[in-house]
Amino acid sequence: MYYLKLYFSLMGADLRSQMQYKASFILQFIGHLFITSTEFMAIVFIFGKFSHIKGWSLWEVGVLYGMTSVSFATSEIMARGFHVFDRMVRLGNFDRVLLRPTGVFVQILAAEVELRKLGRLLQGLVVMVIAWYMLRLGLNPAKFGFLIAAIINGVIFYTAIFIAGATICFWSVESTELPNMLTYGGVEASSYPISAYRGWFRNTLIFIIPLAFINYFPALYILDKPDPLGLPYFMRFLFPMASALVMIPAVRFWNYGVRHYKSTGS
Amino acid sequence: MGDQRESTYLKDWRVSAESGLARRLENALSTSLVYLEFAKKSFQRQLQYRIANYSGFAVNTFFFVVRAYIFIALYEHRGVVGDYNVIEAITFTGLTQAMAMVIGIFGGNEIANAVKTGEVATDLMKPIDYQFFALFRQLGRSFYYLFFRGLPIFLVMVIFFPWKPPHSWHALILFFPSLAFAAIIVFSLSFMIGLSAFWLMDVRGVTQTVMGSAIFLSGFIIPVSFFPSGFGRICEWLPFVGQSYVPVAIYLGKYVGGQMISMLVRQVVWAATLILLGRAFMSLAVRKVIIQGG
Repeated sequence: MYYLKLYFSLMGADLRSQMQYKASFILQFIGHLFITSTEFMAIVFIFGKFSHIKGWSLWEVGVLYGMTSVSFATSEIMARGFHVFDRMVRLGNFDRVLLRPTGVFVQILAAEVELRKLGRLLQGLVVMVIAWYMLRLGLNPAKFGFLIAAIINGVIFYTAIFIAGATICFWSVESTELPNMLTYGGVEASSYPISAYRGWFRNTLIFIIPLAFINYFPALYILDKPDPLGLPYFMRFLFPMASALVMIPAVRFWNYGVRHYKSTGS
Repeated sequence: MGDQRESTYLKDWRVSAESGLARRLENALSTSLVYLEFAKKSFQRQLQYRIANYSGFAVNTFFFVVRAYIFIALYEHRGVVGDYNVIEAITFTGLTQAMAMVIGIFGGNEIANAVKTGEVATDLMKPIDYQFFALFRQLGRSFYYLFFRGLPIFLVMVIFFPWKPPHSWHALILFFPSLAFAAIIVFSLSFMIGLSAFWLMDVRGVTQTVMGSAIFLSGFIIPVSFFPSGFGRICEWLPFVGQSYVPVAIYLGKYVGGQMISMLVRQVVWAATLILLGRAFMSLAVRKVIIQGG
């Protein structure tokens, strides 16, 4: 409870400082809204030529895209501190964090609120709503609850990747792009049905980096689609386990990293 | 007496003209060597970031594999769509991912940061042209990425996926100059965005909007021939296709003969125009530095 309060008060402080630059915020918000819209625009253009992928129509893919985009955007807004952690280590600011008599994890989590990413969030929501409407999914409370649970699961997944990515900075001062593979790359890969991929690559996305659980399996349930991969029906309900399986090692890795941290001395 | 004086005058003038020309040539040569030196320096600096390059390679490869599989799935039971067959579509993705860092398609905030920190003032004081300095710094990086990022990704495609070799010898030979002009166009756009930091507190919004829409319109994510046809035709007249689609389309033989020449000419004209525009923009910015007193 204490940490929750701390989290919100730290976030509030950062929000107030960001709001000093309103014009900059508005420009970046619009920029993000626009740019992420071109992402979906590319999908629309592709479906203009192909009409479906592995039996998924444009708006079914829209559900996949909307889910992953909303999850990712929320995680980016909330856990930005881990995303820019390399800078914190390089500049020696992390030493200050360690000196404060409170939790390290919550301080990093609340270090920065990436409000401009609201642009992506809004865009993902709009795609989601249009897709929901076009597919005539209606106001089915079960499906709606399922959707929200799946999105929260996705937020946890992406946040875990940010945390694991930040931990690498304890050992490498070179800023590494590696987490981008699973964050931006994860959004890209999960924008299409997992059944589009093949062989070991697909198996990796299902069983090792459980990207398929962010949106593919939940979407199969929401859209009442059969699974062409022939995996058991209960896979659709396993997603909360997947995010836990990613988050727990990520946090452990982080704690290990914090214990072994040596300051750059700058 | 008068005649004699006149002739010495003339002789002096001729001598000074000759040495002036020679000096100017010599100057031009030595200055271009200076800029090449900047390119070399930035190439060498890039060599230091080994881990960054490995991880960037992993990211580009991941994107390539994802997009290649997506195209394979889309092309199931389909032949030629939007003027591309599946192998050409895979090659398109492989080439764009291999080129991404060579042309620096995502732009950078180097110049904006230099403006923000004030570092730009010392750069402007140096007896060199700031735009050329920044351009050659970028080209040095491009050259590095050609060997250490582009080639490896291209090899991943060749080893693991069906791919299409260059359409013809001309296509292969013209691919590289076209690639260079692509890098110059991206540079001149991001140079101007960077300079806008002289007027704006925070250029990130502008950077995102301009570079992002440029990436989309450049036919980097999907081929221009996948665009709705009217829209695609408009895009072919904009500078952005010169950022990445023109070299790829030349390689694949989508632009051949007269159309290839025409697209190359547009690319060169746009590169020159944007560089000149950048110079105009730079002189405005410099005036602002002087007004502010540095």
